[in-house]
Amino acid sequence: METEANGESGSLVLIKQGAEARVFESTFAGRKCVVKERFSKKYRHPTLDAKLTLKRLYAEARCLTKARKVGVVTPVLYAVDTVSHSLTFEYVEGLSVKDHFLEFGSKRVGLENTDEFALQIGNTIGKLHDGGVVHGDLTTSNMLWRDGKLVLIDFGLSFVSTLPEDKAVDLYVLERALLSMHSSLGNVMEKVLAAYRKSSKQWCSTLNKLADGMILYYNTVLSFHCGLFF
Amino acid sequence: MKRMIALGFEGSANKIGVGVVTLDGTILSNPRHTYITPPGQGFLPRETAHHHLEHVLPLVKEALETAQISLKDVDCLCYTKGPGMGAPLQVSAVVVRVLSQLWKIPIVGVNHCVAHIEMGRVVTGAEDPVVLYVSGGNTQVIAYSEGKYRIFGETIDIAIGNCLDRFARVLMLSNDPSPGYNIEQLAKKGEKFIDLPYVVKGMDVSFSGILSYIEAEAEQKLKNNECTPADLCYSLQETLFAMLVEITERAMAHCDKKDVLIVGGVGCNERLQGMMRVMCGERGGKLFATDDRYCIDNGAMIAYTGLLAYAHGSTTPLEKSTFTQRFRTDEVWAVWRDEHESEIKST
Amino acid sequence: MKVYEISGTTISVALFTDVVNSKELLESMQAGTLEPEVALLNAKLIPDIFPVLAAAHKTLVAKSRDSLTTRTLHSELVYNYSGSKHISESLKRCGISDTTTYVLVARFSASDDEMIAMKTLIKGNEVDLDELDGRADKNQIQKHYKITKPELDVSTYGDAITCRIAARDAL
Repeated sequence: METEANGESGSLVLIKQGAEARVFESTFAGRKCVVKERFSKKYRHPTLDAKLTLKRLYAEARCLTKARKVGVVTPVLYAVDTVSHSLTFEYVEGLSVKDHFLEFGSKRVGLENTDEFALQIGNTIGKLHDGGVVHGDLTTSNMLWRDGKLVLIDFGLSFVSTLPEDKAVDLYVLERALLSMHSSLGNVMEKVLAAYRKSSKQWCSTLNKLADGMILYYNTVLSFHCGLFF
Repeated sequence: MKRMIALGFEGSANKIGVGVVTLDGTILSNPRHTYITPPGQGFLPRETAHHHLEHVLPLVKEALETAQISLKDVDCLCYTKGPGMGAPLQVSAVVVRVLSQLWKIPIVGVNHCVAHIEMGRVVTGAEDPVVLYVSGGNTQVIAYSEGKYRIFGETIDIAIGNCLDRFARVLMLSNDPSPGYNIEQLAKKGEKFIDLPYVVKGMDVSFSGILSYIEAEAEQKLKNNECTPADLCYSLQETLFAMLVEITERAMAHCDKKDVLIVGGVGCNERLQGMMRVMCGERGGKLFATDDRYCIDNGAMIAYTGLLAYAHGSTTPLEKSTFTQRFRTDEVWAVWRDEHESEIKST
Repeated sequence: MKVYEISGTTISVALFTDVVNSKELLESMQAGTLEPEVALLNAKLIPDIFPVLAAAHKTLVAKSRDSLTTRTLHSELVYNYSGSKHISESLKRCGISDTTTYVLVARFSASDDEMIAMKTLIKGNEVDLDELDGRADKNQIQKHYKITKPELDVSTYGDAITCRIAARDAL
């Protein structure tokens, strides 16, 4: 008989105080893990707050599982606790894509360094979308880079949808995140979309919507004409 | 040394304003006039432009008199180049062109959104905040990065103020002083929270679904006595503002900034400010907000921002002193903020 | 036999092949006379001990909140391992039947004496837990947990099962 040491769901060490969750490092059944605990937001109406917290906890567990089914790499989900509003995940070693991109930016290295990243980002989103999952919060902070492989995290705003509009907004959110954070790297989005086109069977309708979306957006700006000003 | 003085014109929406400021941000005068329409009605470009035309010259006189300056003291004429409604924008652009020719004073075209930000910064002393810009035509979360005010989050359909305005029309609330103000007052009497759609996508928000939902529900619920108009205003504000605070917080986490500055007409709302203050407090940051003197469109903000650009050698030649309905915040190089950044880059 | 620490307590686990008394075990379990009380799992569905520990964690959390779905702590472990909400179906699939010969036995916070008793309870050949992967029925696992081909490109069988155990209540 032997006893496996450190099998205990051990002490919690705070590693990140995020906007809506505290993230701890700990151990789960002998493995290093991350515990993400959603906390209530005092600025929000309590009814609304309770609704959102639970909704996002479920969405995250559900959509992460669904994403894995279609071959998207995510952290393994170890546990869900609806009382403490926490999720326990596999600990992923590696920096975020955001950190890598910021480093490229500060070192003034060429756009070609982002090739592999853009390729995998496009592939991953293509797979996810074809699987009927919209991530809802595609930013470079929500993508980790482990041994040269993309790991998608944070499915709290994810939902199941097959509508091209929803997928287009997903891509639009990413495009904006790249523009606002990594504009010095050049047009990474173009390369992401090229990979997306190859990976998603339904790329055509989605990218059409993405293009329409921009027109719609500008039309909204033009709707000043309707005299709907503050 | 003579202090630099700018005369600024704002008329991108239903307010026409003329302001006089100095480079340190001192406002010497800032009169304005608002075009108010009857309840249930928005304002149309043509009528609004007429209103502006009628009031702009008396406002120039008043601005100069109150500031106790004369024409020869003015270093530059600043006007709102965009974004906004075409016809009203045209009024300021034309007036500035004429005055520039008459008085031989250079012109500086100003981005309306950037002007809100710079005015907010100088009035509150916020150094490098995440900016929530909320008005009738705009809903953006902005932060300064690499020489520009970059948009991190925004509405993917209608603006927050637009959403509130249109709801105010459903309830036939008065447009005086503004529909949003009247919603805010009514919301204070609300007790019951009604569940509404909540749509946040990354750092973006969407309001159109909520508006059509509450427009449809309002009639039904009011008829059945399930709730009062006050409850609806209360629930709408709670939901919309929670979304705004959420995306602002996301942007703060994303670009690692601690403070928040709220600008734009909806920024006067005390409930929005209160919610944002709680969020900032939890993150160890500070909320900077202004009152209706600066939140609401005014001439001084245009004058001040134009003067910043002018002081850094930037003017708009006569042939380029046009106006444009679409003019994104991140199209402008914030040259006056860039100095420090370029120093870092060159080392 | 191996003992794992989990959620402030322990779980003792042993793996047996060529078990001949499954019928008797099942009968005494149903009669509630199994001594000591243990969980008996169909080891063919277990490619790795980790998902069993994840199910154990879930079981202990439910116990601490007095919210067990099944009758006992040990039947709850079997139920939780299935990753399904269907109780009787779960117990049938992930538990043992009259003819099961390959069994994983587990008990929470077992004393030394109880661990010895656990071993004598099962009439079979104890093997090392390392053999789980080689002896598991991957086809059956794939079917029961609805694991897709693309998922197996990015995940082990054990991790795929773990996700389903964890996410069950959110589905």
